[in-house]
Amino acid sequence: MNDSSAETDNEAKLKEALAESQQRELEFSALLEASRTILEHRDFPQAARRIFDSCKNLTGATAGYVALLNEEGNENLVLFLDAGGRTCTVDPSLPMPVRGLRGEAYGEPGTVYENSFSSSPWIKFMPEGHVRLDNVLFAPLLIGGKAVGVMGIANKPGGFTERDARIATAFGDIAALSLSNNWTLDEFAKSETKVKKLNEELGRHAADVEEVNKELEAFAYSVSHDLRTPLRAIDGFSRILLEDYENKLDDEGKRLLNVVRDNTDRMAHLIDDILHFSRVGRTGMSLSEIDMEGVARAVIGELEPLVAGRKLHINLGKLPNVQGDRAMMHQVFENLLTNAIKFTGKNDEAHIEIGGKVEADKAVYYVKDDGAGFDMQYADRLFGVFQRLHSAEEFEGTGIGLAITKRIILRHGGTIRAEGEVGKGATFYFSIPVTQTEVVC
Amino acid sequence: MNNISQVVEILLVEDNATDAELAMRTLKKNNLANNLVWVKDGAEALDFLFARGEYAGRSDCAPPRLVLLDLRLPKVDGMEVLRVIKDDARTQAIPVVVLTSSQEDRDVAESYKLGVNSYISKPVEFDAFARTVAELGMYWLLYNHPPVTGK
Repeated sequence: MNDSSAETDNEAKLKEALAESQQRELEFSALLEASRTILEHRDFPQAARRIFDSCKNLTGATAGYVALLNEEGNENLVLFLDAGGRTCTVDPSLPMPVRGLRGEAYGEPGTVYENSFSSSPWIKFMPEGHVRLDNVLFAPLLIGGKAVGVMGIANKPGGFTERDARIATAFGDIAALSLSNNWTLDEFAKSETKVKKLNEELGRHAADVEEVNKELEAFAYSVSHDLRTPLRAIDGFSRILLEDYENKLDDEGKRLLNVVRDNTDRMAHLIDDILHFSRVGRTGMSLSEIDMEGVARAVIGELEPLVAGRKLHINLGKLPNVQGDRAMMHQVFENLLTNAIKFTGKNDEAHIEIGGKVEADKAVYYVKDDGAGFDMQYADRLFGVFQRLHSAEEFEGTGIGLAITKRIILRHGGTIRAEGEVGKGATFYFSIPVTQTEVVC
Repeated sequence: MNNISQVVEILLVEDNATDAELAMRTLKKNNLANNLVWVKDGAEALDFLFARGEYAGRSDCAPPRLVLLDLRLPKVDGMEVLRVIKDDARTQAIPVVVLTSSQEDRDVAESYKLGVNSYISKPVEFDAFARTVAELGMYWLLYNHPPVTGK
């Protein structure tokens, strides 16, 4: 008697377990299918509809809807509505404020349900003509823990269970995933459009710069040709005057004419310097690893004739290599060393020192002399175009050398400065990043 | 212009009167300007070399021994004159020295590409200018062996 009742007992338990297992199987399949839906349907309302239908069928509900929260977070925007065969005269496009049981789902946030809807406090929120609700369940759509919408199902014969809540939560999560995916794709598309627009703008700017460069080149060309010709005439005819009328001119007359010639000479140098300066800013740079010590040594060799007969000691230390335009660096050393040699010209004995070292990601060099020096008060004028701190009588020059040097250093993304003391000497420091990134300056 | 049928040694193509005067003065001082013709634009230079227009009477004359050519010219540009001279079998062998204010790389490159014999930048300073003109005049007229002309 015990045996047979135990057997039916076991049989019942087995049947129950089997039914449970089959039910679980159904749930898993439905959830997996919902996942695939996200990949197959990029359009969220479409995906949401399928997910909703699946959830509705699985739980046994007969009606429901999916809605998203508006930006302010106080209203629902209904994506679609399924009245389940019952009449509903409420216009789904009207604003649906967050309140009632739905509000609870948002507030937690978490899935909530009510099986005796008509006797619940929530009934009073129902507008005229709304579908008659026996029971209702809300599963919020959560992204990052925040509710962005809700899936509601209703009117399940027999009422909702905890299991239904679990299932609806899972489907709600999948729907939220679909939405999140869509938003990401939208953001991405927006970024791409922005990048494309910026690239176009950049292209236009580059074209503008190219245009300006061409104009500058034409300008420089015109300057070089059109200014030099009259200068030649002034110089030439003064000379002819001196030659042909030699015996008709007294010493003063000759001196006056020579002043004219000296000035045309000076102007010719100025024109050359202006063109040189303008070219330095415009020519392309060809980058390579530069043996700075070698360049300095070469420049010292080239400037030998300038120091013939003078007591001048040049001390060249070890210089770190750097990436840059070799010809331009040659110019830098040429300018700085020519200056050092020039401004120590009045010394009995002169000393020039060149050194350098690496500091972090920069190579720092210096050229130091013990010549005439300069007043630190006017240090910021040193690198100006045609700015001079000494008169032409003291030391010749047009004042373009340092401006050109500074231009070159700037184009390499570096800095240059000077320290000096009148009568004691001057030191010029310049630093350049050891490697060049694509700098256009 | 005069010199319709005389022997011409130097054809000076220069639109600027002061540059022309300075050049001719220098050449004269060095006895190189006895048979010099000065034209002021590219069209006249070509008329002269090809015995056209007012120079039609030169069709039987030997070509000049040297053409001094400025680049910036009215009517026909200096570079164009150079191109025509070096393109035509009749004039291709005539030594052409470009004498110009321009130091621009592209002018130098273009001139040599067209077959110029020499490219000289006019110095601004007169002494240097005079020396340059005198030396190049002597080089091309006295030292240099002229091309053998068919005539």
